[in-house]
Formats: sequence, structure tokens, C-alpha cells
Amino acid sequence: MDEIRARFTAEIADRFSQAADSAAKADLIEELSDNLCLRYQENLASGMARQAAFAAALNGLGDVTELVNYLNGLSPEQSRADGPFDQLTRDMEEITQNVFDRTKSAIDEAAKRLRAGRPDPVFRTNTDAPGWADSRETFSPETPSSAEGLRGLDIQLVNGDVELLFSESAEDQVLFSGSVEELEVSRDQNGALFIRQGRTASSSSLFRRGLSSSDVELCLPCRDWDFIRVNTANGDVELNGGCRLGSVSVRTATGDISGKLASCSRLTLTTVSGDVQWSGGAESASLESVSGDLDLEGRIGSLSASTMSGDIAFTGSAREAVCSSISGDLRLEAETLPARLSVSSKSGDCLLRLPEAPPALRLSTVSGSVETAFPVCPAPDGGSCACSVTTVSGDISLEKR
Amino acid sequence: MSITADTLRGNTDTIILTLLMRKDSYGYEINKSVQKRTKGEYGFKEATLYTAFKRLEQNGFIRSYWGEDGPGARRRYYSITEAGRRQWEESVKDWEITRALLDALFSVDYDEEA
Repeated sequence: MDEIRARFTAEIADRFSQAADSAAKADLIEELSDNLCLRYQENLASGMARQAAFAAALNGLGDVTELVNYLNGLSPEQSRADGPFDQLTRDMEEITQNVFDRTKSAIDEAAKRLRAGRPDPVFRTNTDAPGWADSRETFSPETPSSAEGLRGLDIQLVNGDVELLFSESAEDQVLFSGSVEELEVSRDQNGALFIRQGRTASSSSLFRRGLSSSDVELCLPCRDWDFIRVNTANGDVELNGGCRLGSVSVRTATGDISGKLASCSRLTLTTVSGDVQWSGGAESASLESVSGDLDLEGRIGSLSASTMSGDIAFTGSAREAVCSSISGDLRLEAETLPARLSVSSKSGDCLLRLPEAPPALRLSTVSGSVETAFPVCPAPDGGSCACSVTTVSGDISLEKR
Repeated sequence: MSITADTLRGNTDTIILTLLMRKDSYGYEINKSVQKRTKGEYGFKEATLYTAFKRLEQNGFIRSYWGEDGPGARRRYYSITEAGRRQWEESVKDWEITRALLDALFSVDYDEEA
């Protein structure tokens, strides 16, 4: 086969003779030679004679004029071969660009919602904006407010931390503390409590420009809440309590998210560069970050977690779990074997600790190492495996708990 | 067949992006996928495929890296970028519009008086 490869290489090199010599040219010739060798083997397998198989494979090369032009148009920098850190540099460039884009988008969105959510002398056209109807009852956060009839909470801040405590001992009231003097609080007829930052036009302008900040703490009665929504650009968010909640959604740009809740029906935690540390049950959980780490513990029905460069760690049980990263490491400690488990990364390492061998297991990596305590076996019906771990250069390790 | 081949060749970039949406892949495998999907009716010439790779890479839609392919051997893999995913979505939308226009233009049942 080496002789055939050499013949293909010579043929291809001849066709690229008009291209200036460079590492990029050598790489391209190597790739094309490999492909033609594979075509040749395929032709032989189909019953062709050797000479015919060679000629047919070579015919598959086609007209290389454009590739020659491409090679001749490369700068000296582009012509050199990949060094060991070039791929890493490109990964980091992409991740950095993503962090920048998504941070900007999250801050813009938070500021836009803040603008749209309140009658504002500066943005007069927003006074009729949906979501801040005249029918809302506004009240001061500086005194306790009755929680009777409240079903949900919607908090949108730009700068400042948010802490929510669902207390067993709290009366049916909403208690505000922290920098409450600049909060605008209202509730609608459907039982939703809205909290926004910047009571006056001048103060809201300061918040939007990042020149002012306020931390907010709320103590709420521990009972059923239909929904909790918190959006911040730059603040940390923390939720604690032993009650069962409906939908919980927290979004930050740079702030960390942490929480310990008994359970909720749907959990959505999204951040750009903040870290997530969460403990509690959920029927479905969706966690997403760009560079922040995701750390989740609990009993989850359906789990979805994805990052670009952040690490993912999950401990507990999940009926099904889909976790992915680009360069972040993934670590899953499953107390029970999920019915479906899909873990993938590009350069991140994957460590799975499972209580027993999956009935069907697929492990795939290009250049990472593989260590497994369980046998790799295809799905019995030839379909997709219940447990699949895929990386490009990340190491794969499966251990028994 | 020449019109079909021209149409397919004109969509080489989108075909490659489509296959890379599923997973990272290398030149030979991409070509095999194309042949499999078209039941052997169509396949790229290597030069066509690699010219498209270089174009897509220069536009930031894909990137490449060397992976191992057995002891001592290596193989260049291609992966789609976020910009490539957005480009693929745009191209598919464009194709839907083009197809709808051609369906209308090729229809002999069209009522000119309506």
C-alpha cells in the first residue's frame, strides 16, 4: 500500500507543481493522497483490476486549478503548518467571541426589558408598553406587602444581587430588605409580583449605564408558587427554601446562580460567564452557560446541560441526561442508571460513574484515551445506544460507583 | 444530468455544512455520506470538496484539526462553527424560497388569468 500511496503522492504533487512549496501544500497533498488510497481500496474491493482501480481513483481528484490558486494566495503566516497550540488558540478565540457576543446580548436584553417595563419620561413611547399595564397596583417595598393571592414572581434587574428565601416561618407576606429604595414593585390581577430597578427616570438611567447598583433580598412564604423568574445582567442570584415550586427560571450574564430548593417542575438556569451551583429535584432541568461551570445535584427527570468552556458536574439520579461541552470537562455521578445518557465534548474530558453496566454502550473518541469498567456493546436492534460518550481529543473514563 | 450536477455543485458548501451539523468528519467520509444519500448518483471530486473546505474555512464557517487515525497515522477533521450553523440556517431558508419560486415557475397548471 505504501507503494500505491507514493504513486498517488507523486501524481498529486505533479499537479500541484505550480503552487509554491509550503506546509499547507504538503498537508493538502497528504490529505488528498490518503483519500485517493481509500478510493483505490474501494475500487479493488468492487472487483476492479489494480491499474483500473488506480486510474479511477486518480480520476476522482478532479481539476486542482482553484486549489493551486488558493495555495498561491496564502500569506506566509497562513502557509505554515499547524503548531501544537494553534487549535487551542482557535478554540479560545471562538469561545471568547461567544462570551463577548452573549454577554452583550444579555445586557442589552436586560436593559431593553427594563426600559420597556416601566413608564419612563426619558423613553416616553414605552409608557404604553405591554407588561406594565395601568391596571397594576404599585406599592412601596419599604414596608411588608401581603402575599395573599400571589402566584408568581418576576424580577428583572441590571446591577445588583438577588436573594430569595422561601421561609417556613414567614407569614403570608413579602418582606424586602437590602437596597429597596430604588425598587419599583407592582402586582397584576393575575397574582404576579413584578420587581424592577430604578424608581425614577434618573435612577433607572444610572442602572442601565452601570453607574448604580442595588442588592435585593426577599423573604417569601414557603408555599406553592407557580413561577419564579429572575433576570439580571451583572448580579448574583441565590434561591433557598424547602417548598415545591412550579417553573423556576434564572438568567444572568455575568452573575453566579446558586440555589437549594426541595423541587420544582421545570428548572431553567442560563448564564454567560457565571457559575451555577444548584441542589434540588426537578421534573426537567435545562442548564446552559458559555464559560461558567455548571454544578447540579439532585433527582432530575430530564436533564440537559451544555457549556462552551465551562465544566459540567452532576451528582444524583436522572431518568435521561444529555450533557455537552466544547472544552469543558464533564463529570457525572449517577445514583441510578439513566434510561438514556448522552455525553459529548470536543476537548473536555468525560468521567462517568455509573451504578451498573448500561445495556448498550457506545464510546467514541478521535485522539483521547478510553478507560471503561463496562463492556462496550452496540444496541441490540442496531439503533442508537442508551449510553453514548463522544469526544474528539478529550479522555473518556467510565467507572463503577 | 448536467443541470442537476450544476445545481448540486452550486450547493456544495451547504451540503458540507449539513453533514458537519451532525458531527465532525473528514473528507473521504463526507464524500461517502454524499454518495450514500444520493444512492451513488453523485459524489464530489476531491478538488471540488477541498476547494469548498478552504472557502468555508476562510469564511469562518468550519475549522479543521488533525486527529489520530490509528497508531502513527493522522487525519484532518472538519467541524462546523457557530457562524457556520447560522450560515447553514440561512442557506436552507434561501433554498426553501428558491424551491417555492421554481415550483411556481415550473408549474404548467398555473392560471395566468387569475
